[in-house]
Amino acid sequence: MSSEKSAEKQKLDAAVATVRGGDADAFEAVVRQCEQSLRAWLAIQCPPGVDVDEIAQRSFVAAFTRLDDYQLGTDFAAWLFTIARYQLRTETTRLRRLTDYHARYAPDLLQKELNRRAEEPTELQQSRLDQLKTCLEGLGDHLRRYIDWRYDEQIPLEEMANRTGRSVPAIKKQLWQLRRKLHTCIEEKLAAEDASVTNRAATNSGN
Amino acid sequence: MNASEETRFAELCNDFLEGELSEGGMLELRELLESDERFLKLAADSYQVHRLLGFQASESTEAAKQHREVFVHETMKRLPASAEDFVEDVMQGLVRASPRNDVSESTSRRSDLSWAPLAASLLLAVSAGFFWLNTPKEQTIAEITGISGEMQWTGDGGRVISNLDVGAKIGGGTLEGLAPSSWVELTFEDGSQITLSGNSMLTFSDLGQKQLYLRQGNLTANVAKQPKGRAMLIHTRSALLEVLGTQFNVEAGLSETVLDVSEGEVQLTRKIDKESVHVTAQQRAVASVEHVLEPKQSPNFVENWTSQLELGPEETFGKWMPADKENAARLKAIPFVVEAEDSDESLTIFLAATAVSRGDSPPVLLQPNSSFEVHGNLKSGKDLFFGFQIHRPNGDFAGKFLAVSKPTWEDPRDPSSFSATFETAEFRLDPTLQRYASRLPKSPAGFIVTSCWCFTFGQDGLELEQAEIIPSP
Repeated sequence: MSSEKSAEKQKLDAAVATVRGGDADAFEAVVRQCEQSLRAWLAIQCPPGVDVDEIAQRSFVAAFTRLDDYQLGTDFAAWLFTIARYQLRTETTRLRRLTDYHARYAPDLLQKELNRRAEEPTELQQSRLDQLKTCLEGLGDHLRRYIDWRYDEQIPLEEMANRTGRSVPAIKKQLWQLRRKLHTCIEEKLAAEDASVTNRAATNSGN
Repeated sequence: MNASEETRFAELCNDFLEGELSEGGMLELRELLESDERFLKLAADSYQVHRLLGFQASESTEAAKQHREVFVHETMKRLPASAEDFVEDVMQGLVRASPRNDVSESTSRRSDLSWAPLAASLLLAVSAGFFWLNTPKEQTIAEITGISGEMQWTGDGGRVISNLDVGAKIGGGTLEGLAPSSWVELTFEDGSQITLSGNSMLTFSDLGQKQLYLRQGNLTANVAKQPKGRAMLIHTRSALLEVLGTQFNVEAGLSETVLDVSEGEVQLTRKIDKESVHVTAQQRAVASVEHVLEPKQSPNFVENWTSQLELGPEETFGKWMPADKENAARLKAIPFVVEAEDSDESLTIFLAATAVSRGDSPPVLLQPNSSFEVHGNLKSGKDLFFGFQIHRPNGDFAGKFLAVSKPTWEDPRDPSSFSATFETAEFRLDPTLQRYASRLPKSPAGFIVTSCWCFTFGQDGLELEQAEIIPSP
């Protein structure tokens, strides 16, 4: 584990200990430290129709009320993500009860696949956002502009088509290819990171 | 996975991510996902990257810091004072949220509406997080100036908000009415107002020209004069409306669009053949393959109405069941979860609803002495709630009204068959609209009934066979 991550864990544990000691306000430090990674994780696990911030807040509240269950010295973030997973499952179960949810929002198979992915270990997934930023930097300007227009500036596809002199279907296809390219890039970087962590652990245990 | 399938899959998947996939497209996408696991993996990969890009974009601006501050602040506000208090709060909330089962059936056939404050609190689903409606970089397009019932707003990047309230400023996105009783009024920056009611879905944007995509539902608009060459455009599945400034009502179904103009003029273009007509004040036009596209004098009001569930499930809410040997066609109430405003509590009602003055039918005017008669099946003698929504003759939303009654058993040999009668005078303004009481009529008489619904607070096997509006003799 990097010294940076270790320091983060210690900081979190210290805040948790303070809260347990009766200072509820100290929980703010916990929220500040974990909110971005939790919301990023939820953003990619939540099916359409689920409010990411709402699930994140419910998870923090649930963690706060069960703080005595957390074992200091283990991994608070992992514990919090487990709670978030349950909160998400509760919400997706509620959505399934809406009669026309799957007809209007998302195919049921996609939701099941997202549920399955939400069960996977979260450690690597937390760094997806960082890897995405690196991968975006690796895109040439001519490709990056599509992402900027679509996601940063939220320009309608019709306007993107006008600006580039292409058709709307061509723009859609371009975005599809870009998303696939970014996905491949992120997975490759995560795999490299995973291999690096494994090698370091092997080296350390050898020493 | 062959090349043509892959191309089609990419198109459908893209439309899904852009929120432009129709129900037919959703069905096609589902079939492809079932046909090949690789499609499922591709769809999930693409969805997750799309969401991550949306999240990354929303986090990378200076204003995102403010967003995070609000998130932290709101989270801290939601923390219970202590674990013991938290448990106590939840227990009290559950007691409060429990439906009233203790009303003696022998005391009075009618029950009161003393549950109203609770229902109002549950149905309003209000909280203070207005900031969330607008990602910091989004331009505000409109403000919510009236709301009631379950509504949901989805902004770009997939942010979904269900705790909408008056005063919320929103950018482009999709508004959805999740229940037959849902209603929202939006006021644009230039003063134009639209109201969306019932089960409905509207996507809108304003990049110098207002563009509205009404996938489903009823929309009433009072449009301020629009800049030359930038008419407000309203797209439905079957028509395009161009509006320069006028007052009208439009109802979009799967295959037809019904336009009623109160003031001014609207150009209606049928998409299938690009044929256009100008519809002027007090005229109606229907864009569908089954109607000649021509403006006609708006139909006269009628005073009686009978549901026609035997014709099918169109414009209903519930599980439609066709007639069989023993039963007429009916609408089975289905669960609908209503969230509480200030906690994680929720309440499930069992709801069945049908449109009244909808489609190409004449508007139904409610008289002071009219009554509603409801027939159906119910397995318990618990309270039956009945409500309806009214519009003014010009299409403006005029309120929702509610009454409660004990069912009367129709046939001793069939213990589940019931009827219930509700007189116009018994109805009260829906509790969720109390704060608008000063601008809404006290009585529904003299207004157009657009839809009606009934519900119970438990799974009591409620099935609606027929609803009628009967004018006084």
